[in-house]
Amino acid sequence: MKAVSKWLNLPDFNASLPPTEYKMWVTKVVWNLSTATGLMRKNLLLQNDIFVRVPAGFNACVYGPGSDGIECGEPFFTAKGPKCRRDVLTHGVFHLFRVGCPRHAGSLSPEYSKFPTKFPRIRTIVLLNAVIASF
Amino acid sequence: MANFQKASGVGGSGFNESAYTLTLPLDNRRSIALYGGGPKGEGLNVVAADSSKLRVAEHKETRDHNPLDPNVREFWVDAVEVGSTALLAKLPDGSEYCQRLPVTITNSADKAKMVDSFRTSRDTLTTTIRNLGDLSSALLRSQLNPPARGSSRIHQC
Repeated sequence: MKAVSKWLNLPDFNASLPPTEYKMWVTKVVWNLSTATGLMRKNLLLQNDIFVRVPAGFNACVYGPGSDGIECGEPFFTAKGPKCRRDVLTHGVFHLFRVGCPRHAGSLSPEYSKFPTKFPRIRTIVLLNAVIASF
Repeated sequence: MANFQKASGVGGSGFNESAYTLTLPLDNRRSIALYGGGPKGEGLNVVAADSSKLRVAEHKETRDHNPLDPNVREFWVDAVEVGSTALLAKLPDGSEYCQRLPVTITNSADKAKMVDSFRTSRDTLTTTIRNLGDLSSALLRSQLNPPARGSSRIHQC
């Protein structure tokens, strides 16, 4: 619960909440969890043909919503272990769903910073990845 | 007359200018540039002679997100089946208006590593979805019996 609460940016739990407010808190939390799992379910629907290798220096790249899938660069194949590759693809797929990520803004690809974060309570895929990693 | 040429950046690798060929491994993407257009300046349609072997899609800027030369267009070329084919540039009436670019797609094991990584990603997501679902259910049940004021049991679960 602590990991989920931290990384999914859940509303604070106050142990002294009266029952009515507790129910409201639960409603907000469940909504957040539902949004997160909805994104993950979309991820599961994708097919294997969205990945291509490119001779580039990044691990993976999504050029923008509507682009042709995820490009995996040279380090993905030559320098990364299985768990890192798994996390790279998990991260990249969320970009396809327009979840933003400040880690990339202005660095690897300016396109990332154009992505609107459609799910404001789940601020970034960095956080979403952290939840996944906690299980 | 138009012609294919090397695209900007590392994505342009695989194009052999002297032999006028493009070679790329299966499940790989390369970029190819097209210089020029039709006799009246019309844009040419770039397609694969055998669309089962290549996917072609235009991109409007360089990989570094810089604008392209106004006389140049760039295309992503994805290899989806081993073999030989060609890239064609056609006028709107369907006639070719550029020397065909022979393309060879070589075998590669790249797909296996990407698919295997995606499978483990999905396994982890499945576990996460199940655990978050269990958490949601527990929270919804707790609405029927809210924690006593001052209790911190929610944070301890």
